[in-house]
Amino acid sequence: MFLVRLAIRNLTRNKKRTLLVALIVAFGIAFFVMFDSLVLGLERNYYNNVIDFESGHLQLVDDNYWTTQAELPLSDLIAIDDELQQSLAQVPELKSYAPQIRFSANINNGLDELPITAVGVDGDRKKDVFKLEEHLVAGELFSADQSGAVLGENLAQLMDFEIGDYLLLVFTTQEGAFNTLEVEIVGLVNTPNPQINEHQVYIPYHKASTALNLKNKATEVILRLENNNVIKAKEFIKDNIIAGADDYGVYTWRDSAQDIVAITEVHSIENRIISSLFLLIAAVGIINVIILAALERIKEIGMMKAMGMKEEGIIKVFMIEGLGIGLIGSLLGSLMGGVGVYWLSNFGIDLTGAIDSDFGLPVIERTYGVFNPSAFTLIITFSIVISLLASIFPAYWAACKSPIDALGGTN
Amino acid sequence: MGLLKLEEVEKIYRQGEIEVAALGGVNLEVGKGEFTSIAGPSGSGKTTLLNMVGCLDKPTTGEVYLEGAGISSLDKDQLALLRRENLGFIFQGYNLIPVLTVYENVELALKLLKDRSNKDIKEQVMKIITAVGLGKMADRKPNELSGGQQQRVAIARALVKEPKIVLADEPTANLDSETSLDVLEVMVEMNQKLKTTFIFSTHDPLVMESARRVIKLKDGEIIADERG
Amino acid sequence: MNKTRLLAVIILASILLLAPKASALTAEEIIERVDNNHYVEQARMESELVIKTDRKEMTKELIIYLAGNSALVEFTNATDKGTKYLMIEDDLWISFPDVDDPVRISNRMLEQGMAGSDFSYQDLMEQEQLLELYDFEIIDHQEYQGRASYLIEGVTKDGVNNSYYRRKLWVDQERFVYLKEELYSREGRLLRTIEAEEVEQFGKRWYVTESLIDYKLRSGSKTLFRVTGIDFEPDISEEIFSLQGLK
Repeated sequence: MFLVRLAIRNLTRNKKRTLLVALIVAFGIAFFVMFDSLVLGLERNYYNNVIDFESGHLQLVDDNYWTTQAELPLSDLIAIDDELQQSLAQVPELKSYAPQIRFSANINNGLDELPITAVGVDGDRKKDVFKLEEHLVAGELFSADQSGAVLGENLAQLMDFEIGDYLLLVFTTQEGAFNTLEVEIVGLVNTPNPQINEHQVYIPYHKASTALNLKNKATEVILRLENNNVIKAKEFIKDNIIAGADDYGVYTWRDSAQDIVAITEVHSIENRIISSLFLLIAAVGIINVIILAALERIKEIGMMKAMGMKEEGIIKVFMIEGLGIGLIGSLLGSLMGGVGVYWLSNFGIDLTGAIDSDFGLPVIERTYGVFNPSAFTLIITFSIVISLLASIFPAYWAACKSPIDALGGTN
Repeated sequence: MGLLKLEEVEKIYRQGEIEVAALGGVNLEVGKGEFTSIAGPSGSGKTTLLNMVGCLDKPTTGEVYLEGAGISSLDKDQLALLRRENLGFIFQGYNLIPVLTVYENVELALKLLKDRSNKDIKEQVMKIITAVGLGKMADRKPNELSGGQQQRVAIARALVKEPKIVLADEPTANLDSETSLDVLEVMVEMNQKLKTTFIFSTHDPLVMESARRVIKLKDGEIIADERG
Repeated sequence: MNKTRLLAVIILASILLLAPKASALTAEEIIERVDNNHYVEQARMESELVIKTDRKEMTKELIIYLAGNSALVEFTNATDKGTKYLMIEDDLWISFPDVDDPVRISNRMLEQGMAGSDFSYQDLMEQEQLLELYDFEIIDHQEYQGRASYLIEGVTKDGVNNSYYRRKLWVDQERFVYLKEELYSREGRLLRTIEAEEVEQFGKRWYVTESLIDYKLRSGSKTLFRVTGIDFEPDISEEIFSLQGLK
């Protein structure tokens, strides 16, 4: 205890130095938790984008279709028969499901053509399974008997379309024959998902199936649950639906979002690297501080050795000092980081434009941070360990001076 | 056998290719309660001799006996233990720990012994601090004290554990003559009251006058040993 | 003596007049002859693509190699020099001069206009004989560009995969080349028109060497495809129709 008291007092000898190094530790910690919070927030946004607008919670899809879905082929489809619908209705915690036909088409306004993805889906289902209604900026989502199209505001603007205009879709059927579909625009949306806003056109299911000659077929069936509990639902589907149809598979939203998983992992690693750099600098700082302190106190050390203190004791004092710097830094860092994360979680930060290409994630709305206690625990523990390790070498170095040399050599 | 005995103690330092003999075949005995000064010009080997006596260093040849036990076979930690339990040191630079109070600086010596209760420690520390005339300064930090007062703290620290020998290396070197006298007075008093053996190196004539025995060193050898 | 001569003239005239009716061709026969002219088993063509829009005119020069189901297109004009398209089996690959590996065009891209022109990659890839794809019917006899022609309509045969469900062709009655084609989607929308601007003879074959293509869904642009040199019996090695050959 005496040694601890001594070490603590020693830290006050040169407050500026102590504080400087502690601040470096603090910044490392604060940066880490804030970055982590932001990445989690982005991840959450993106996952929500995928769930709310693309994949729902689960998808029922032919396994062969799943592997080639980027091509939007019109083969390996799901047959929507009564039996399937009955089974689907019984999926636990189901909110709703929507069979859809996705196909590639050109949107044409008489002057220009743009390749987009067309989605044929029932109006009612669309409302329940996707969050499009909340993001309507004009008009309405069609219901099952109407025959209008809904597209992103951006796309409409690009093609000079307004509500009431007729857009032309040009596409090829499964047999490769060109076909066209003229549809009135009844609604415009502006969602957080840029994929939807700029590359997608929704038309009623029956129009798509007729134009493509795909009666009662779907490229996939999207399911939305009441909550995030996909496991139970997935098991149910596996046992009751897939069991009977070899090629069908059920995929969760996470399977659909594989690229985002990869990207956030990259960002986690980035975070670790940057924070480690901070802590490396701090470690160097600590080593520096202790060596300086030892040089300044060399006579005291000699004195204490003369008085009979063992090297062990001297090492302990210096290590406690190093640890102390780490602890002070951790405290400061937790405070700074805590404030930062609080601010991010409640007020968010607008990252649109700033990070499109850098982060690799499309972001349209304000990003809110996520409070992640384990990030704090991780980085603080790491900082303390680094502080301790950094102080070992200089502490040994300081303690090894022989008392005579320390006190001033021969006379 | 006296308290301290040096038998044919030699200390040779190597500086590159050159060997320097700091001490050459010194023989010395010091008894309990002595107040001995080691005098000599610089380079005569005073500090080296003191280091031997203080078990801070081991002789190249010869042996140092402290209360009959030889030190040349002891390792670093054993020597430290020896010093801890038997020796007190006073240096010309005081070497007080600036972040500790007067009380704490003195207390440090006892804390190292580990076998005293806090109550005992407090008693003993206050006693010695008062004895050197600093009873009211117990909570002051060294930078609030004069040179003389700081040296008195060093003395208190050296004495608090009632060591067998107190070794002082030029204890008055940084003090003016008036203060030097004060400090000397304290050391003499302690020597008389506690019967602690004092051995100090000095070339201050004032100090030599107070000493009852003066050992003169030149070129690493004792040339005179006067008792007066 | 006059009567005999008159009778001979009358008989001769009737034979001449009757001749066309006696040798009236069926739609299939007409199309067969058209296919013989148009369908190329193997060829090397030097050609030009002139894309005219309201704003500007772009000319691209290409060398096209055809052999069976494979085709290789190589751009030789300054801007696009070195770019190649390769069609093998059902896939389309593009290779660029600075890029190591050729890029496979995904099937959904095949509908797009090639190099900004009025015909699609899909159109370029189709090298089939029309007779195998459509059921034809003669609708009318018309004059087109001052030439007597058959107006023939074709509807895709059942079970056949075909880009244009319905076609109308104006076939030159003498030379059996199409003078104009109208290409329709499944529900009857006119997608493209192709007009023959120039027709040349190569041995027994008549071939359209300049055609004007108009993609009707996009106004304001037309594309002229001009063949400046053609070799129907070229010496092409199989290797050029492979990915390795592209590099």
